[in-house]
Amino acid sequence: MIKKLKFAPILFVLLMGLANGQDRGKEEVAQVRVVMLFGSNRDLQEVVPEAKEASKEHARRVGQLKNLKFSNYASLGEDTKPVWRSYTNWAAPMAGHDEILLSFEPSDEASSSGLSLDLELWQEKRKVMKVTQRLQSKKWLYIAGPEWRGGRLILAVELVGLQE
Amino acid sequence: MSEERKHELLVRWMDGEFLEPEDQRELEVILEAEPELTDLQIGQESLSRDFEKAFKEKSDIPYGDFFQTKLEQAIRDANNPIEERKVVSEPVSWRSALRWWLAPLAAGSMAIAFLAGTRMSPVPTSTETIVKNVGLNFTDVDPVIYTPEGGVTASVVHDNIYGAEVILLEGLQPLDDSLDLMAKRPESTELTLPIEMVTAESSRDVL
Repeated sequence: MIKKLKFAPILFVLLMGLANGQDRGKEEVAQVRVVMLFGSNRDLQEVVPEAKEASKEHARRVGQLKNLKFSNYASLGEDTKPVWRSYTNWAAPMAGHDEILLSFEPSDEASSSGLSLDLELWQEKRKVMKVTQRLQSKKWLYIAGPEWRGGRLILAVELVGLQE
Repeated sequence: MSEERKHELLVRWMDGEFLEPEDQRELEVILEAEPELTDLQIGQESLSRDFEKAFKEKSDIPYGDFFQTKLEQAIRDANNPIEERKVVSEPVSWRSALRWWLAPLAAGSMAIAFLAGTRMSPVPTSTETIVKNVGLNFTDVDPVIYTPEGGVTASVVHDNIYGAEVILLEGLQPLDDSLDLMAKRPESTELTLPIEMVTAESSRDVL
């Protein structure tokens, strides 16, 4: 009996280590892809010469709105970050810049119909918007942000890799 | 002297009343004729004193005024028939009339307030959303958007044609045009996140 109990402390330490490593809060339930769009009526080669032209789908969807209808749309950058089960994560669509950031955290269980996220838009380290939004795969959420160089910055948010 | 007068004088004398000199002389004549009455009067006085000792002192009747008022009221009611009392009663005041209207009036007011409450919608503030429906088959639940910055408003547009949603923020401070968003920063440069994030990361490390 005593021989059997000799391994109990070792087993206990192993179990504790295993339990410590299984933080379910860090489980990845999905990913969020954020594309920074820029709409402008000016020539993009003059305003942002290094930027790529945005996809026609983005231009078609966003261009329906009078406030966001521009003759040209550019993609300034994008970022894809995991959605953790119970932790906040951040997307910085403009590489290396923190002027525009989007934080996100689940507010509900993921399901086949999508995932509810607490989204916060930060501009120059100030929170300017918070919303609880249900995101669905292959359905874009656009957030029309601040103006810049006569045009407008627009964040395109998409839910990818949803783990049910 | 008549018997009646003699009886009156004897009663007053027995009761200890004060007698006028003339009455006193008439009484003395009677007492001379009937001396045994003197002994009778002495015995009467002694008996009265014994009675006074035997009984307690006089005290006021409790709530005498109240009972007196009630008795007087009962006497007045008995003397005046009911019909007469109705005729002479005071005219009905507006307060007593209001008493009968108050209950249905209160019930009606509550019903109106309830109906108004069920039909009222919250008044939108500057930070609440204004929802505009674009396209067909509008089924989504409108999200509530919080904009902490003053002067910033938000509106939501559901685009069911392309299956997209747009949150339109108005009133944000424009970014400085001199800011080059396309400029690449060295990879070694760490992204400066808001303080809330730093705190969250720190607490996570502690945990």
